[in-house]
Amino acid sequence: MTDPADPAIIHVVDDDPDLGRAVARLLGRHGYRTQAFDTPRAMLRAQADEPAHCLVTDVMMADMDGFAFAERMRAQDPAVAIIFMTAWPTTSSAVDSVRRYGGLDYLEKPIDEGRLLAAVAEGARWSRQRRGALARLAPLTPREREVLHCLAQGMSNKMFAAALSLSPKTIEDHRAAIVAKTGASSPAALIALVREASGTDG
Amino acid sequence: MATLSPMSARPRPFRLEARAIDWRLVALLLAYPFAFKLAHMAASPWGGAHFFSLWYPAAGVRLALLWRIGARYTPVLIVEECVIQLLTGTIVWGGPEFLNQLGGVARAPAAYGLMIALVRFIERRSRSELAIAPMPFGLAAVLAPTLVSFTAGFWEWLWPGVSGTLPSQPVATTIAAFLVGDLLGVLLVAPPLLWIGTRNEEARRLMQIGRGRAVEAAAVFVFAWLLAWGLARVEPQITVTPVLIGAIWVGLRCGRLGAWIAIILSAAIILPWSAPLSASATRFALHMGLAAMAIATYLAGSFAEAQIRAREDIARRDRILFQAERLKTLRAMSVAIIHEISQPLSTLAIETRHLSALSRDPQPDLAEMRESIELVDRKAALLADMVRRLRSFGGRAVDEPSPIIVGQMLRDCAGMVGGEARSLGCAISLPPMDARLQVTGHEIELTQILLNLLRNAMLAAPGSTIEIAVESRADQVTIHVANPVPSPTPDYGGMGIGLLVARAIADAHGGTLTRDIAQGRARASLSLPRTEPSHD
Repeated sequence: MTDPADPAIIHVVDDDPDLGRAVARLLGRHGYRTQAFDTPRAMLRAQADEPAHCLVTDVMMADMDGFAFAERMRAQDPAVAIIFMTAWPTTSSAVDSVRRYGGLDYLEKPIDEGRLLAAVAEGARWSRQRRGALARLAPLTPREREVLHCLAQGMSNKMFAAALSLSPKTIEDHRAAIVAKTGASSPAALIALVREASGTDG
Repeated sequence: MATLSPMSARPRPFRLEARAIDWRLVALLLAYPFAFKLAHMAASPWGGAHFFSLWYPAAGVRLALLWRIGARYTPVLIVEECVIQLLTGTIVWGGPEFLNQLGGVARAPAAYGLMIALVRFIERRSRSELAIAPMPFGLAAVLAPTLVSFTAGFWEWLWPGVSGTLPSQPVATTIAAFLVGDLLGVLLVAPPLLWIGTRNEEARRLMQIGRGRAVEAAAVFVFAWLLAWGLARVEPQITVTPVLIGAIWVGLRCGRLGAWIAIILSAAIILPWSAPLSASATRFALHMGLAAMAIATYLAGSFAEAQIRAREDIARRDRILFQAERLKTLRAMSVAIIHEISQPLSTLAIETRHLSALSRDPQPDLAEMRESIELVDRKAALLADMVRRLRSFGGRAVDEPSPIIVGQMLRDCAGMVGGEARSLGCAISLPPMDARLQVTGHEIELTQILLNLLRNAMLAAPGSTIEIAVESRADQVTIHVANPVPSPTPDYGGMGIGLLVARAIADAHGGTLTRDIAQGRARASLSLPRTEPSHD
């Protein structure tokens, strides 16, 4: 499930500290490194020090509601997977949680343990992937990113040379730089990398 | 057999008992000719040279019967009236004007039947207020005598009977005499006959008269008659005017039964008084006054009853509205409780799994186990506490005032509007509160008020922070719900239906609900009497 030498980091946020700690302990038993927080603010502070892979948060909290929290979290760190849990499930908030706030799952309390574990495992995997991809893309210059973007869309050198109004020679140079920086040698590997970085893979 | 058109309102299913003989109806029809004849004879003292009588109770008997059994029995009544008049010698078989006389007898029930059929038709079809009881009966009671008197007037004019003097008599007099006689007969006799047969509980209830009102109405009525008596010594013709007003007052205060009593008492005075009078102009004036009084008084009585009914209707609707609001609140509250229960339940579920995993461990971490067990214990106690609260919620206690912890109630309310707050982009700020702060009341109703205030505040200022504040004094707790108002908005002073209900609830709890706008904030304040927590 998770590599014992390098466990995924899971943060649990619930304004009921007992429940938050119980969930954290549960995940800890399954090999994750976990930490429970009473408030979103505390978690956001911790995220800056040691970024979590996956965030399990309550939706209705007195301090800041789970959805607003998710938005802040995304702005701060796009590679964190978010799982919502709620004692007050409604269809509209279930749909919103996934479509608008990019949640991976929407769990009803009392929590189905199997489903929580599956969601967390998926979230941790997704987050690692995305984080890795973003790290590999980080050294690229803005121009190189544009070139990579066109490449990922399957355009030929000529086509995107025209689209970016660059000479085919320059494109070739950029391409070589991208391959050198990311280590993705084939066009297929480049496309996979872009998809992982955008979070649409997995 | 007529074919049923698809438009026919209610095709009556064939029923065997519909064919069975209705003995009540048979008895009524058999008794009718005798009742009719008796009433007919009772009219004779008020007869005159050119008219049969200025008061004709037989018309009342006829109208009451036709109204009760339906206009389709009109032919039976025509035959019965003709036969009884023949048998008693009022018309003579083969006499000189036999056919004219027979027609004279038959035309009255025929006209009554026609008019009743027409009124009943209007009653079924029309949606106007004319179709609402007792208006149709009132229409029939006035229109049937009108139709019959005009029929009779023109009949006599075209085909004068034995009375040779009639041609010298204006048609109008004949019509007027006939009209006054039948009107008085119908108005005095038909209503009590119909009341005797009524099984309508509501009508009976509406006819009850309170003692205070009866005394007051009687005093007014007696005073009116004393005034009339004084006037009658000067000029008999203007006599009934004060009584008319007095009787209308009685009708307004005591409904139709009071109206009828006033009319019958007036008739009991006027009729014996007018019988021996020789001046037919005076008799006319008296009887017409009596008829006018009867109509006006009945109208007043019916109006009073309609008013009572309307007021009861409004009260009933208020209750339904109130109930609906309450159910809505109750539903929101039960959702809040589910929310609250699922929280500790989640912890319990996770912890018991944890414990069972620990117990399978050959060398369990005892400290961790103890910690887990303590947590389970605490959550179980919390749940037990909630169940106690819940029990007071669903049972009879819900309708009885109970001590309510203000902080708990406010937290529940904030939770209940959480979803709406999110969709309106509002935040609800709830300060920490003294847990001993209590009020006594109906939890559902007070929750209803607070939900209302919170919703209004959020709707008035979407995207803002709604502040709840609690102020406590020795004997009073005030809950403020405040929202910012965008720039100076006029205070319309109006309150929604919800707030009207809210204010009524606050009043019922011995509290107040006020609103004010100051320094860019609109604030609703609910003050309730504070109760000391019991120390058990």
